[in-house]
Amino acid sequence: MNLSFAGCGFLGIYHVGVAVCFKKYAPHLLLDKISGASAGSLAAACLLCDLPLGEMTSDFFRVVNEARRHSLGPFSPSFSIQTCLLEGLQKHLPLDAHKRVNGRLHISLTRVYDGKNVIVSQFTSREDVLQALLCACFIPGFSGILPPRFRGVRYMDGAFSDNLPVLDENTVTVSPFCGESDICPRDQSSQLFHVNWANTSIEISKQNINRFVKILFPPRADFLSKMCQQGFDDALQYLQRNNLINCNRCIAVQSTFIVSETLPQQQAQQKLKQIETNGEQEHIDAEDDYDPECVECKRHRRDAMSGNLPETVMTVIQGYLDSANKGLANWLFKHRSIKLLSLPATVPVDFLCATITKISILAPAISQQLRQLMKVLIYELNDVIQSRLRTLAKVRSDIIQFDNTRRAFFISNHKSQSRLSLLGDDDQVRLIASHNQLTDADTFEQVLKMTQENDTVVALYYMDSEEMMPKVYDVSSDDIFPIEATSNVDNYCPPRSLSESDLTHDKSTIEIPDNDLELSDISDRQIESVLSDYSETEDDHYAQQPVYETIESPQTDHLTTITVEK
Amino acid sequence: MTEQTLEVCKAQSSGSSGWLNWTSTSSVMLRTVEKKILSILKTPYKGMYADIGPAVGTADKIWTICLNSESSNIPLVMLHGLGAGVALWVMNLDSLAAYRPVYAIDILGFGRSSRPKFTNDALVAEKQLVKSIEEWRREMNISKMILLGHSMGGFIATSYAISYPDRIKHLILADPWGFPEKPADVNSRYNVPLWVRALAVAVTPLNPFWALRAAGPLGQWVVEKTRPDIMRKFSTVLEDEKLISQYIHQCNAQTPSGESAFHTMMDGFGWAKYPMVKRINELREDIPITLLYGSRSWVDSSAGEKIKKLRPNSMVDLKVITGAGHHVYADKAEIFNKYVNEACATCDRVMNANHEPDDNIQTKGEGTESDQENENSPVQQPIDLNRNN
Repeated sequence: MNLSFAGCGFLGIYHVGVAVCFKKYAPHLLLDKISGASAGSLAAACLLCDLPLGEMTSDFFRVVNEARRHSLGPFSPSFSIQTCLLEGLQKHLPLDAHKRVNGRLHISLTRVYDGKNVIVSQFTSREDVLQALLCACFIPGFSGILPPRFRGVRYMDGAFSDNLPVLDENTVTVSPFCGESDICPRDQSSQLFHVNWANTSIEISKQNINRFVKILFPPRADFLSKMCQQGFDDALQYLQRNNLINCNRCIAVQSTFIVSETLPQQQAQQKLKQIETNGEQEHIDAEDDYDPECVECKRHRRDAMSGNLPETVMTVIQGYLDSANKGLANWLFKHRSIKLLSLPATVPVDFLCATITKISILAPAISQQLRQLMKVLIYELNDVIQSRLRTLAKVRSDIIQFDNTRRAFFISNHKSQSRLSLLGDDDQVRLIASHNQLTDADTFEQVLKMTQENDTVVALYYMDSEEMMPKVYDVSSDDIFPIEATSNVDNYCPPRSLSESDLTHDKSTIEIPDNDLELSDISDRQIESVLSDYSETEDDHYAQQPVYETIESPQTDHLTTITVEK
Repeated sequence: MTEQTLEVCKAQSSGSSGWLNWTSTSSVMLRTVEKKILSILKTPYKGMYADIGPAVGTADKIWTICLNSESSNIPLVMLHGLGAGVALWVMNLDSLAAYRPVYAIDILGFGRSSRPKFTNDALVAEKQLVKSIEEWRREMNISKMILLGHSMGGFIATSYAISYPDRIKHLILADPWGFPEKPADVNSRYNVPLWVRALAVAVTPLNPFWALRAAGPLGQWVVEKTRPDIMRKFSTVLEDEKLISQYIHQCNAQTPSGESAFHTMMDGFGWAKYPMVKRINELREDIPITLLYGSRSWVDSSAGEKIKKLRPNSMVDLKVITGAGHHVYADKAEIFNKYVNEACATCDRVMNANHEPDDNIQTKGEGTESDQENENSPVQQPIDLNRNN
């Protein structure tokens, strides 16, 4: 026998009442599949995960209170039902939730792009269950604007396609609206007309219209408690009417009825005993025949007649009822007129609060974005300064001196971490050497001529403790330089002798050997070697196409790439 | 062709055609849809207008379809519910007509029957409806019948049985309307807000299907959107589900005659002004009743229990069909047919016991009423019924 819970928003408390009743009097009916939409899917998940119903009730009331607190109820900008749900689910869903509910929990969802109904029953992880439940409770406009995704596809509340998923013939339907469901409030009104909203039959009656409003506007605590009680009563009535209340022994015998036909007697008895011990500590010697006139069953039924909501749930509800009546503010806002009159005052305050909270939440993101902006600005500044320098400067290609003080903009060394993050990628420590300003005025014209043709930048890539790779970039076209320099590891083509693994080293592994060589020494020496090479071949290259060379520097095994463009 | 023109004339006389026809409905359209739905019947059927003369209006006609009229068993007469018509019995007619003649009629003021103006007095309107059925019976020359009524049809059938007990062999009520009394404290459990009550008060004077007519050309769409479940019930037998919504729309978008009669008999929002539970004792004790309720239906089956208690000396068979809603006959058609056939078979059996054990009875069962006391015994099913199970 399967159960199916209708979606009903804040009236979900009705399902709590029904669930309590089933747990108390007919736990054997909860062993099969349970389906639901919207709030019904939450109830189904709670039942299948066997969560304590007292806590569930209190969590439900927490959300209701949260929603009622705001001036415009759940429509207030500072209230987000999705956040509330997520918090609650994160807190209560067990770690192995997906294992418990897999194949048994059937959640009805509406696919956003074609409006078709989808029933999800297979879950691979706890996150999967959580996401499906969040999708199942998403009402566009009420919960937010963009529906959440489940496995990459956007879904929303199942109430838009199938609000009461019926899995097969033996499905007991539960709906808080008086209508043609197995368990539903039987209003004291002989209704004649109903409508059928997404598979849920709903009578057009005063009570139902009243309930309809409560789906999105959380009702008062006393209404909720009545609803819960009603759910319990209706479920109990259903069980009584269909003779589903049995003592544990009879349930066990019934459940082995089919088993004993196929399995050997011994196994059947074993199973029977197992169920006995699982269920309750009643010790009985295994009887095979089911006794319809069981005294125990009758006693159970009689007890159930006077049954009431269990203490755990009752106390929770009572607590909220009391707290709702306590305090001056509660008393004041209990009257609708006062609430309505105060709206012009409360709504702006609410909006203000919402805006402030929104800003404070977004603050970290904003500061990060500011930092990004600064970074871009600094790079832009680099460009401007460089292009200005270039017009003024001369480059002496044969002697390039690394002047530590001139590296202020571009060069970061391993000791100044803050600089590093400002200029470099996290994965790379990058050294950028720009053209050095030349002091020698005599050779200015000559060098200027040359620089116009060959603008280069030396970049050093520190790959790990052993290897370091200086790279000389062509900067004859200004805009390439910063892009080229900041490009990721993946984007540039590594030199031949550099393996992939070298490139993917973490920042943490990058260590520059202080004791072996001074950073400046390395750079100097290498660049010298590179550039001396370059100067040697300079004349030959003048007439050639751009050439990329890889040169193995003998002392340190470092690689140097030179780009020469004519 | 002549029939068609005749019907067009009729439609014009009722004032719902021409370019003023906001609801986009006509008798011709209704006839076409009905024909399409009934075309899936395996048993050949006859459709006819029974002229009942000035019963309520000046010249009333009742649309009747009959199947297996050659059979000599006691005929079964079927009365539909509010807003329905003969075509909605499409899933039952074949099976029920296997053993006896079956007559399904559009109650006066509904479906394809004439739509005269009924009075504004609840009891008189009820009597008018009952009288129309009696006139129809006389016209059809049926001396005794098994009367089956669903919902509002059940109410009328019971009223008919009270007025003309001699004509009734067995009363079968499927989820009948109008039995329980209107409770005094309707709004005790919840405090219904003022605006809801105001809305209810505003809607109460309107006819039940006012929205459908107000929607005009969108009427069919309204039916499809509000009651997709009814269409789904018939999806197993009908290929085109839209036929049902079209049929319901065409039935109800015309002049609301029978509907207003129902509205007159109604008190408040769906209660009967003169509930049957109070009057059931007027029904002669020897008339056996079979009550079929859908387990999910809103119609309170406790009224059935009450009837059982009120009629200790007569046969009252109460059956609740699990998983069925108010439209029992369509929700669980097979079980419904089985129960109805079982109930009908008891009549044949009693009749056969009274007369010669020959099936071929020409005197259409003037069976003595006194013999029916023994029907309290559990129903036994004749062998020929097994085909249905």
